[in-house]
Amino acid sequence: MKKKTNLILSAIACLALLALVFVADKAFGNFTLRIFNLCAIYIVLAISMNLLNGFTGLFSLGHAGFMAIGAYVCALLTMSPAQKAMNFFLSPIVPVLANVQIPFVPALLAAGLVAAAFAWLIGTPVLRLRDDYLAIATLGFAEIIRVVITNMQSVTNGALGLKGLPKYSTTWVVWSVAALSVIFMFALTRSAYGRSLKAVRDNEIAAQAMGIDVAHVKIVSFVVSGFMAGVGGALLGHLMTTIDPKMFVFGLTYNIILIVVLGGNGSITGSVIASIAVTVLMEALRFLDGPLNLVFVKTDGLPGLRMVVFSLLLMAVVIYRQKGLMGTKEFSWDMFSEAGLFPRRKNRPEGEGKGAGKC
Amino acid sequence: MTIALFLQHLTNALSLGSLYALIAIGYTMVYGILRLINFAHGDIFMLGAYLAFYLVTLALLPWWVAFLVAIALTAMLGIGLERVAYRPLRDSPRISIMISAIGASFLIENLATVLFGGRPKGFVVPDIFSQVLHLGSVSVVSISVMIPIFTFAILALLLWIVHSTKVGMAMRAVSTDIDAARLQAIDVNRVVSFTFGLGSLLAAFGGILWSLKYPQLNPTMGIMPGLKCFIAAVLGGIGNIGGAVLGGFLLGFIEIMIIAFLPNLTGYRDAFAFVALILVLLLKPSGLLGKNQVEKV
Amino acid sequence: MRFGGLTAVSDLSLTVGDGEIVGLIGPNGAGKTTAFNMITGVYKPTEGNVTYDGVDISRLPPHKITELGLARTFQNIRLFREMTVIENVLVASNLRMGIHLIPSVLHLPSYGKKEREARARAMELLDSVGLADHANDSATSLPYGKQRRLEIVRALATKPSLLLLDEPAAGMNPQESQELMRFILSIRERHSLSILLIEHHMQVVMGVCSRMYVLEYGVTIADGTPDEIRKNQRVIEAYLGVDNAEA
Repeated sequence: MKKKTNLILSAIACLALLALVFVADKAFGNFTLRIFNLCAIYIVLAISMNLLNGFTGLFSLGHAGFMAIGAYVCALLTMSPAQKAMNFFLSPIVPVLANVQIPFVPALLAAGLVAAAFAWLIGTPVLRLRDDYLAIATLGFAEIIRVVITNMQSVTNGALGLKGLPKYSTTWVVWSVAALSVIFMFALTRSAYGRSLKAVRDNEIAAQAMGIDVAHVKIVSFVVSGFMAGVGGALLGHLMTTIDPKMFVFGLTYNIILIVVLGGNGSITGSVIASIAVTVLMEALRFLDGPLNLVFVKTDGLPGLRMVVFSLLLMAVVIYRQKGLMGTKEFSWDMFSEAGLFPRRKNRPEGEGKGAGKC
Repeated sequence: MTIALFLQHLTNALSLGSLYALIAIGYTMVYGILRLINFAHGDIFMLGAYLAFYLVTLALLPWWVAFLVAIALTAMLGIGLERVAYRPLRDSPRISIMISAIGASFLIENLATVLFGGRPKGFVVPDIFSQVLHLGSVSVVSISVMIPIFTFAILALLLWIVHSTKVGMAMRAVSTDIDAARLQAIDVNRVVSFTFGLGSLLAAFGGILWSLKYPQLNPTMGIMPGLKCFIAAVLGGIGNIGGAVLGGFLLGFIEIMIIAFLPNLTGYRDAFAFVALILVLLLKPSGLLGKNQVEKV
Repeated sequence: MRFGGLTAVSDLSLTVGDGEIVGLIGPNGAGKTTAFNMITGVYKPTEGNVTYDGVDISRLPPHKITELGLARTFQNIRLFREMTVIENVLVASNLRMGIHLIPSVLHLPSYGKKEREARARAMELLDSVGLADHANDSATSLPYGKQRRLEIVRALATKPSLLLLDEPAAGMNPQESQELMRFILSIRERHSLSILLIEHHMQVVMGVCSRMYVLEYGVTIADGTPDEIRKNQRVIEAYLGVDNAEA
């Protein structure tokens, strides 16, 4: 397909997306809108994990930890003193945080930056480890973070969590962040630096031999991923309007892994599609946890059945179709013509069809 | 702190350490052979406990029969797990098999929630285990004393298996070099199955002993012990059975003793293991008894 | 170089001068690749040191050594599997282009210029080994011989002054080996290189090297010109039973 056609199609797609968000914001009911926005947040989270795992080859299980940091930082910075006083009834909040209240955007950035700082601190020693050790070490850190949050009563309100976060995660906000993340990732992976990332993933020793400072690349990837996870966590917090340490258990990281594996480890498009699909499916399958009436079997509510289904799905994909939905391929308009949906042009010029959602 | 209190803590530490050691061995054996962190191992531990529970309460078997049957069944489940979730991925990148392990772990936990219900159940503790013994001024529950004894007996048996039987030798061969082992006509699949069976057996045993001491069952009871025991295995030197035992005891001691002397850190109890992990990985990744492995370039 | 109780290389003292092609030969397991790994910083020598152009590089990380002008290929080909042929070469160009995260992501005009230059140069390199037509193919789709060539041009993309080749002729038939010999001599001219070569193919080594070192069990047992080595009794003994092209 000619490049011009690609651009036109991409432009149309972007406009369609904008229109969709606009309509959704106006027309969707509260519940549906929340799911819709949750999709966007998971897009951000899945992309941040894909950056680490799919593009740099670093298997980190610490995502929930960075999300927790981001969520708490943003919450503590945006809640009004009155709200804080209400929450911290068990023991008062540390004075330095009691009267702080800043607007959402700076708070969101702060959330990302603090998470990124922790990523830098943790990553510097930990990234030298081999993949399975790296996984456990990052999991360890996420758990340490969670335990600390649960115990620092005067900073985080401990196990009680924080309620009444201002509803800053509006449709436009979350989808803008999601769009920015996608654009950023495409820009990164198509760039020369992106090639360095992928080289580290494909063959670390060869990458070193070709002059790439592998340790530096890994840290950069880890920190950027941490930033995005922090932002994602903050957005999640302000969507749910309550946060507590139990939200940020390993299960949360697991959900994101699920999405990334299903969509294809190394495909941004895959992560986007899978985020939406899984978020919707998670809701749609909620009925599995409640009373069921299949013709042969009547049950009175089997909580956990939903996650059984998802776990089976994950394992099926990992065992039988490791590449997930998209493998390492990205969306291109050429896919449609290859599937026979668009008329083919007689003389196909050489080149990759790169019309991937760049607005 | 009085001597009596200290001795009580010591007994607890010994018990906890033994339990951790039993579970850690399973991790280290599997890792030694397959270079795989069996995330589902903690859930096997949980299944052992639940199976014992149901065999006693539903099948109404005498407790010692129930326990033995539960252990055997769990061993078979462990073998089955390997067959289904890990064997197909043996030649795949390590990340895939790790994801499968995580998936299996969640699957088992949620399946357990569906089948057994999410609410905690009380384990049935036969009287012999709940006797309170008075040794001088120290009072301990009989199970606390029996756990280390049972553990050492099992460990002796295990060492015999690993060092004096053919299967044990095969296990050590596969753990050193899986391809060379194949070339020596060792049936790797059988060795792997045996290893999983053995590891699961120990985990089930640990699960039952655990429930005798801490009689509250719930489907997620295996998560924390599982993680901590993997850490114990890493502490001692992953792939090394002696290391796993050492690591298990060490971790048990650290956990109990820190709380004993610094009770206001009780809330951070679970974090100790993770801190220990990070320290080991940074200072001596091969663990206390482990050897450094160099990658061939 | 000691690994635990095993000493892989215990006595090796080699020098490569400007523009020379020097060979490193020896039976399997003699420690040749270990020597390479020590030189390129993959292993840190447990004893002794490595000097390049007057600079002690023994403790430097591999990427810094490459920056100083040492490039290498690998015995078991280490291409970037998920990337295309040209991408493999482009990665190696990143070093000399000074690639940083932000300008790269933002696709600034200066970055665009660098990219175009790099691509042009990469295509030139690919062309010199007949791989230009395969530029956009996946690296692993190439047949073995072409993969080896790709590895060599990838190393060349880092603009080295010393190139270390680890068994470049492995698996090649006599005709391909001849081509390789010509290729090695031509790149020395074209890129003003010095070359250190590990090889088992005696023809290739004798044909291109001006000097050679022979390693056995980590110890240098001979060094000198091809003629001298050919006649060296110790060397012949070391190879007894293993392949030797001319006695």
